[in-house]
Amino acid sequence: MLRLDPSEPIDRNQGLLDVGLDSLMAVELRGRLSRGLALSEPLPATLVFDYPTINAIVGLLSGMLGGEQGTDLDRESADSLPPGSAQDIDDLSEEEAEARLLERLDALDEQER
Amino acid sequence: MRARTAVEGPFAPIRRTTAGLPIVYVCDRIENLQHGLSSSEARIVAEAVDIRRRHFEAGRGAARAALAQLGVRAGSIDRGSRGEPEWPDGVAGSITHTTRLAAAAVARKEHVVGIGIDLEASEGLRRELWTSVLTPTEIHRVERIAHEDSGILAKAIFSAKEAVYKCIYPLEGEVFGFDAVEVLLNNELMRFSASPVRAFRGSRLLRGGEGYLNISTDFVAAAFLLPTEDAGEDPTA
Repeated sequence: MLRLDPSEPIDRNQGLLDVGLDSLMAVELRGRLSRGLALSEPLPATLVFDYPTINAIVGLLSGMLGGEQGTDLDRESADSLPPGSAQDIDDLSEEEAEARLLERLDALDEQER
Repeated sequence: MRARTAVEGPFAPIRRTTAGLPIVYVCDRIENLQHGLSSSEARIVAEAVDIRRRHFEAGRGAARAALAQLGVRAGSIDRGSRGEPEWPDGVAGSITHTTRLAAAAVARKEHVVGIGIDLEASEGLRRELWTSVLTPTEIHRVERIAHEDSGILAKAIFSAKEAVYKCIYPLEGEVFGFDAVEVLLNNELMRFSASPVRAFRGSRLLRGGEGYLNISTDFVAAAFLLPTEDAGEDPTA
């Protein structure tokens, strides 16, 4: 989606704009996450503005996917996290969510490209 | 008319249509706009990948060229908290780029309160993205069009909404999504109007805005302008 070299993985704390994500790609990312993860509630329309790094998005998703503290992760508490961090979220659920996210994205990539 | 040193590319027809408003458009290839960055601009993209840095530099290059034509010298065009360029006092402007071209539009605030421009490659917007970008009403309108053109129309609405956002957001400071604004393209696909789907800070400004499109085989270009009251007659009215 970002048309980057897959052999050079991006830093998960790097800003998505810094790795070349434009607004159309942002729409695509949000769409893929919503469909791929079968989320029950919509992702914010301003996803990459409010969650500008992969780690920040993973933090949001791990909450939405029903991590231990998932339902507590409303917009307000998520916004209060420092940019690019998901440190208040239980590590295990973060890793689970991330693994699931990456798996799903890979699968979607294969389907769509 | 003053000679223009830089090309306007896909924005040339839009500038001609809005000739009553003194707006400067500069649009050129990415590689022709690598004129360097100020030290604070360079810090913005210090962590960015090369291609992103080149696009950013081209956008700033286009912006400085446009400001120069306006008679404004800008050492540095820094970035606001949501990525918006911070223009010199008394100037409204906007920057956009594709993988090939970068463009900027600027005007003095005595003529234009706000301006947003957007440039996209004219590939149609894929069907599965429509619900992320278009309202149900917009989808209904686009679906009435012949199938081979509907993706391009969806892309034009996307581009129009980007231009609206870039015009309105810096004025009021509230982020709004694609679902907050509805765009209506005119029959010739050269103009559009924007209306709010829900209230947000800045939604009341939409009605006073003028939307312009240029859809070609290569690009979709959109501009949304908010003329200052009594900035002159709309030349197309």
